[in-house]
Amino acid sequence: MPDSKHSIALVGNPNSGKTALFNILTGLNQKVTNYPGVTVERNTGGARLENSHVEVLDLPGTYSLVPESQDEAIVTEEFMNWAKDENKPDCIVSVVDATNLKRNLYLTTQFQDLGIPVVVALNMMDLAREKSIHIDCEKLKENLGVFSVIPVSARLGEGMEILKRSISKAFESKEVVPYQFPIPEPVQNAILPLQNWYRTHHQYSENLSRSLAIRTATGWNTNSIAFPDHSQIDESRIELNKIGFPFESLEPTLRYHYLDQVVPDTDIPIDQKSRSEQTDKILTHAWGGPLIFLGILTFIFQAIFSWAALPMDLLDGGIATIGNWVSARLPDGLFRDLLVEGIVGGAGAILVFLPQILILIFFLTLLEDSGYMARVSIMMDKAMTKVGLHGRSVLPLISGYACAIPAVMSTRTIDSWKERLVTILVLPLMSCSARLPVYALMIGAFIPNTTVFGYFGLQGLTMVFMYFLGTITALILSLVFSRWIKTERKNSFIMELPPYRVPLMRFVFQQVYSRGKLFVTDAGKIIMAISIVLWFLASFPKVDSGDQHTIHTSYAAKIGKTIEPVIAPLGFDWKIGLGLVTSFAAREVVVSTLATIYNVENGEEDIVSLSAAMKNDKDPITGENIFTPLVALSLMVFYVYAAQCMATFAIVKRETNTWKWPLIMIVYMTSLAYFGSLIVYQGGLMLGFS
Amino acid sequence: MTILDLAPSQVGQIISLDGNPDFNSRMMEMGFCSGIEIRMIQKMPLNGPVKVRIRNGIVALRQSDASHISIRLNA
Repeated sequence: MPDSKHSIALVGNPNSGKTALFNILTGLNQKVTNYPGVTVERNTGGARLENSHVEVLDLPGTYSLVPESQDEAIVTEEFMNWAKDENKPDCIVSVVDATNLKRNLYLTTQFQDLGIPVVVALNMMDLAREKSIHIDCEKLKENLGVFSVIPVSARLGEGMEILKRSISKAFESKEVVPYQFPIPEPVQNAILPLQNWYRTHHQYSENLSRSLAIRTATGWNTNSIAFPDHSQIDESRIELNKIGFPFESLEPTLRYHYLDQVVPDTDIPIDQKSRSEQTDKILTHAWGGPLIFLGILTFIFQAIFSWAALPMDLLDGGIATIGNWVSARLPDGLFRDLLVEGIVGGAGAILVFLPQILILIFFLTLLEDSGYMARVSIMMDKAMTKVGLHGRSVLPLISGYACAIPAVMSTRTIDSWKERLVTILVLPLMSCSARLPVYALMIGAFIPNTTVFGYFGLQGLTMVFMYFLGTITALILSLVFSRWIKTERKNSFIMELPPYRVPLMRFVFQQVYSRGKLFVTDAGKIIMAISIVLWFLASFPKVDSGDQHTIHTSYAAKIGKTIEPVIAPLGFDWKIGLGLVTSFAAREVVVSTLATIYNVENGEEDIVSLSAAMKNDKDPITGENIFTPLVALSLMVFYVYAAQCMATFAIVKRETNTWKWPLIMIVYMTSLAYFGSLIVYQGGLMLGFS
Repeated sequence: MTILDLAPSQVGQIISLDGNPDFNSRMMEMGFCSGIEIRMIQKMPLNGPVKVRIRNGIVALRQSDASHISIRLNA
């Protein structure tokens, strides 16, 4: 066939290694980590198998087709679409954790009902070997009635060729013999009316109808199928109770009973302690555990400052060299000004902070990939509950240090809507990597590089304080929000703990690379565009009036000076005001805005170092410094709180389905920012600081 | 008795689940079926979640959840 584009779908439990497999198949850098629920939406990618090209769909991990949270609901929705023959894949690859076979195969048997060939990728074979678990794949395949069972290790890349070959073969097997697991006859009789309804009203196969009937009797509700006559369900349930099958546990009872019979016993003796358990004795120790966690966080923030110093200096020097080089080669004129002052000056100022962002992402990925973050969730659950959050809020909050956008999406694993909403609302207060450039610039220029208590650097401490301020405010506000939002909370927290694994450096660096690329391209585009617009605003109208700088009469100055009265009580002049305006799209833009303005102001001379220019900037009338340590502090506090990321509000709107919550966020964050800065600046003045 | 009555390292066998239907079905899907052995690993401090070994995995759940899982001690 000339145009036979096949598609496959990857399904599996959380932590079964679906996403790692997806990456190997497609070569994409979809994020893989050792934390339950990393894939929260459907991802697709292309892969080459044998000699055909296939589309690969990666779905969130779930334990069953009866969803408990929003990410799991995506899988059920997809399943029901396939049942209706919509976008049906040609093959389902069920990714199964070989070390926990029966529990994982539960979902596999649910997918078998569709009559699509199922290839079982028996993943984590490396771990299984380590635990001396032996599985007879051929026998398992026969017993389950799946297309094939292929042992693989996605982490080590083992068995991939065989898996690909088997998937290709599955495409050719047009006729799939539907495999029906046996159920007791009285149960069959009790659910028959439901089964017949699915059969006649939806033309589902015998197999699927029976399973949906079982699921309906068990208590499954779905919006995609409106079961007209509820009394029929009640009748079936009464019948089931009569024959001694409590309906609430019908489906799990039947399936596990069946799995117990056909799946070879691979259970490890219950009292045998795994290596992860031993490790946990230290890492989740009653008081040692939280202490270690705190130590790790402190280490990360120290590293961001000290490790990034050298590459940042190099980048800074490099960018200045490029600017001067360009400016020396090109003839005088508008184009040179635009290139040097607008583009190199503006975009370059941001690029300097790339090393810090990469270091932060590197450590966060390590924490997740090692399996440690799942432990942090359970250690923090109690404390989180106290402030109205959830153990599962910890990962989104910590990833908020990198970027609020993926963090907001990762709240989908929180199965209680109330706690999820509160987590989303306070998330943007976690200082994301876009604030790093602002903090770093201000601290580098205005906080003295001295040590306090003989050991801690004052600059590093100030940075930690900014992160602390955002975090503590987030926790306090979540308490407020959870009192205020009246929705019922679901008081349950169940989480599987993945085994500890040494992070695969290949994956970690892939992750760091793709995030870094995203920062440079996505943020770069906005920054570039704004820098160019800003350069025009700052450079025109051109006036030639002796030593008077153009910038003070420019359009940009007019905009800035319009808002100056509002922000003057915070200690900000019009240049900062302009930065606040431009950084509504993205926080880091303020840095490039200041860079562009100062470069334009500096005019003909060399491209200037931003922090030097800020230090030397004097009020034209009073002759006092525009920037003082107090102004810098006030500005940083403003950036801790301010609502300045369009993309975050867009994603919150998408996740909450209304503009109500993003608007509430903008209002409360802006108020916090304004009054926070006001208190810092006016309070500081009163105390005699400057 | 429930899971909460198990001391660390003690093993019990699940008899029944008595939470709400959603909870019961999720627990059963995760392998908490009657007759299955369960070992207490750790109770987090200040009445935090408990960690248990079930089938071949480790699962953490809140004490309020764990109290809905009835067990008997292994003979």
